Amino acid sequence: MNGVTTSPGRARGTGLRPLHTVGVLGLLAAGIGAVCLSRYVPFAHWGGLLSGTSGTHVDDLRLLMARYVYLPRCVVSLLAGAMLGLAGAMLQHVLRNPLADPTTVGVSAGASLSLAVVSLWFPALLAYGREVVALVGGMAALGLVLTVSWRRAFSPVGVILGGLLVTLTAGAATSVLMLFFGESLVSVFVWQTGSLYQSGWSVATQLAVEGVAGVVVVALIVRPMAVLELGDDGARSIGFPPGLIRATALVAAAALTGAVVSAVGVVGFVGLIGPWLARFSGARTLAQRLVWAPAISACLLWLADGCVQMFGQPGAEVPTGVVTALVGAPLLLWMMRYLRDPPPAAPSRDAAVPLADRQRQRVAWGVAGASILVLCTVVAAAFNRELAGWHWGAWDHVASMLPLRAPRIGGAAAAGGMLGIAGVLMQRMTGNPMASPEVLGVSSGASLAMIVLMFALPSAASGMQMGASALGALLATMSVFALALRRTYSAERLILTGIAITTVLGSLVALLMASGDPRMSFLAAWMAGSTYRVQMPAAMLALGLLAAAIALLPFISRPLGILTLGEQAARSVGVAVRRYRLMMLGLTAVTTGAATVIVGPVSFVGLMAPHIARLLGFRHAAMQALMAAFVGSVLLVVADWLGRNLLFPNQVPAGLLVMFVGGPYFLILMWKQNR
Amino acid sequence: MTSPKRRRLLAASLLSVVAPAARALSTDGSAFPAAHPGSHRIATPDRVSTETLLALGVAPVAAGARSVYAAMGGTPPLPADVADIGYWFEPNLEVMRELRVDLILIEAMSSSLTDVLRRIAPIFVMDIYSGNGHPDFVERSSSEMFRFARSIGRESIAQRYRRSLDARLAALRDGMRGYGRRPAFIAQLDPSGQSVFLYARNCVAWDVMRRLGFDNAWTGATNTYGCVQVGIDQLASAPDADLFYIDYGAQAQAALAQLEDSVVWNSLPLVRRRRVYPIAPFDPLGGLPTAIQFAESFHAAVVARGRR
Repeated sequence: MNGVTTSPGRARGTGLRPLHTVGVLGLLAAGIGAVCLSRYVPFAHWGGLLSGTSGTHVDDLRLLMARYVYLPRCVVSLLAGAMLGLAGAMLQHVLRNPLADPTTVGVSAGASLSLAVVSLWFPALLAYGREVVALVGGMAALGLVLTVSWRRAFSPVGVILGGLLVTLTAGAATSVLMLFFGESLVSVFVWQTGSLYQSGWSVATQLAVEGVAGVVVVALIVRPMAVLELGDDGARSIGFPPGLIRATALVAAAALTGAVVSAVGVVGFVGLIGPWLARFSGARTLAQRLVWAPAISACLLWLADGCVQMFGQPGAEVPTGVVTALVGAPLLLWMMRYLRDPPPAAPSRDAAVPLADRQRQRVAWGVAGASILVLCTVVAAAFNRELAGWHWGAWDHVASMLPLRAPRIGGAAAAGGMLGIAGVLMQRMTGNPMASPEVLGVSSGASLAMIVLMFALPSAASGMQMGASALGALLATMSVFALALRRTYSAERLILTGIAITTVLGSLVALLMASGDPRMSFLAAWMAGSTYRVQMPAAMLALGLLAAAIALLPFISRPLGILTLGEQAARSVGVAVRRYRLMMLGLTAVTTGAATVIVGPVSFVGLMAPHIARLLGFRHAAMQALMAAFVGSVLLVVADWLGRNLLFPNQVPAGLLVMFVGGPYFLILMWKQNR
Repeated sequence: MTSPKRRRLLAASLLSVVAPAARALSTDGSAFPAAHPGSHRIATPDRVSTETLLALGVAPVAAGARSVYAAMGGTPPLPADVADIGYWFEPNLEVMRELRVDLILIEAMSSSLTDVLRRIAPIFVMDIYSGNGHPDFVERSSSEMFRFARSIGRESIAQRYRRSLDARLAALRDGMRGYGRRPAFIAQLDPSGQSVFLYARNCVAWDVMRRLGFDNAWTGATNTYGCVQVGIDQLASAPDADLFYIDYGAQAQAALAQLEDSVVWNSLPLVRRRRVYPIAPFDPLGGLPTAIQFAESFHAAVVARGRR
């Protein structure tokens, strides 16, 4: 499959067959399932489950619960697992990437957003059933992804990027609602955590119908899909339009995913790991994978759900979706060792050509950038809403407010600058103008560490929280380093890893919000990019780091420019590719980590700032990075100022405001590209 | 969430409880600190601190999210001239500085803000919800109220408030004499029709129900704030119980519509015996005044249920 294979020697050496994998997982799951069932009804009375009559020793209620709570739950876990596995196998084939998860195409993010909106403003619609609402939202998200990747004939890169943008934008919108209306959205969080709990057969029946329909569609397109292995040109030459095949397969896979997501919530990684295990245990052809991946995924989810029921506290178990996410994330990192990348795509021309900027233009823009930043900072510090309305402060007044405003403004400027630089580095290193530091996993690492701290030490002071997220950023950086050291890596892989980790983060946050613990609002605010808690020492530290990063730019400028031409070219002119890569990766990780501590894990600054710098005509690597730093600073300073004033006395997180502009901006940009 | 009409009724009924204390205060002229030179200018970002301070007859100069406070049926009601400092998790620092706040009262749930708030003024932290939770809500929240009242020299008013609260609880308890005292679930229904959110041990509902002579039907684990989400089959754990669902209007109706189709729901003993009743929304994350608010809601719900 286009060079994306597991090491074949491994599967052959162990003599592993897909049937063995299914057998082992299935037996384990069945054993645990039997233990769980015997808690409802003792073994001797299992006959009564089918016949409908109970023995004298089992009361009717327990039999009823086994029949309408336990058994449908088993069936739902099998069906949902199989459907996710099928969707995952198709997506991995169509997107030519073994890390594609059914969540890749934005379906679950769209479903979450639509459920939140409907719960808040149209609660009466919920009477039609949560499933319908979630399905409509998920399909709308898919529609958006397909629209923006339309002109690229639904190429894998286009779909993956579109999916990421839609996931992040819808996620940002959901987090605003979460922040301001958290107390009314508990049921949405409960859904989002992916609980397989059932109270009747209706969900199981519905899933079965949808699953059968999905299988029929997949059977019809399996042959054309296999043709995609020849590559787009190969497929076209024997009369199959690759765009149409991909679109059909994507819709089918997304519909399968949407059906599961709307029925039981977000269950991550099952649809990613099933197909991978199928391939690992020797399913080589597409047809084989389409059979074995669903079987393995079904057993996996059945097993996971059995463990949840067996070891969980009855009635208040940890949701299965959260468990699969927590087990899945480390598994994903482990899996990456056994994957080979497709040959790296030719670097995009847009990012690749290092034009010499004209000296005078550079100086002019540099001066302009600096003065705009100064102007914005002054306005942000002096012109604000107060109790009596908008107020242009006299010096005395501003001086009294400055200790409160300065850390936020300084922190925003530093974070924006660092994200801008990190963005340029990422895009240059990967040769992909749509890459961004947010996909590096560093910000997710920071958030995860912060969540762990909130669990372990609920009353930790803000200084400790910052320390923890910095530590998380560092750990994530180190694992990225480890991966990068092992072999060359592709931009798509980083993005897919980013999506996967975002999914874990999403289900963990949902679990916390669903607990009804009000303290999670602090977490929600930080995740949405609020600068509220930034204090002077943190802001000074961040500004110092930004200065250091800018000072380093002249030294990495030349290798960065050459790397953009591609690895071979770089090596041929004598650049130590690996060393420079590592250095730049380190710089990216440090700047992203520090910025994340201040503005949280989501913002499109790292994506937008480099792009705007390029639009302004800066192609030379170091100059682009410097201008991106200016642009990033201005973006976040303005966003923070707006955030403090728009809904005064409430405050809208700065990262979120940038996201609201950035998400749609890039979707439109993608849509216009390759015209 | 709750209809304006119900909210007004609720506020009115609650006012009737607090009014005697408030009247007593206004006659001796010490109700508002502004009248006293040297008295505090206090900010109350969260609802616990706002209602506790108001119950002591002191109006804050600034309070968190006025609209949310009102929507949760906040008692006592906030005077109109109290400045809004926004949502409780990010109280507006600049407004507090502009108003020269010199004391900030928060509940332990906001304690991670102390580093940030310290820049504005000294902080007093009330500890009602913490650690593994505290099932004796009324004692816990009144001792915290007393501790704060001592620090601002209003202990006698706190004691008076507590006495009026005890008297009101006793009156409500007597008012339900002759009504069946089965254990009861206090539940928020989920629109999925599969799970419910229960309020029990550690929550205001637990202790106040006990004081009114009722047991909470959920005796299983809950979190610090006294809530837990469980599958609907768990409602079979107390076959003899009533279920009071919090009446959040359309959301609750949507949930009931889903539940009516559920075999499990319809086979629950409490559903078969038609023991499912609405109860007016209350603030599940409040301070001592919430005890009165919940007691009134619960009393009204039991009376509406009937004597059976």
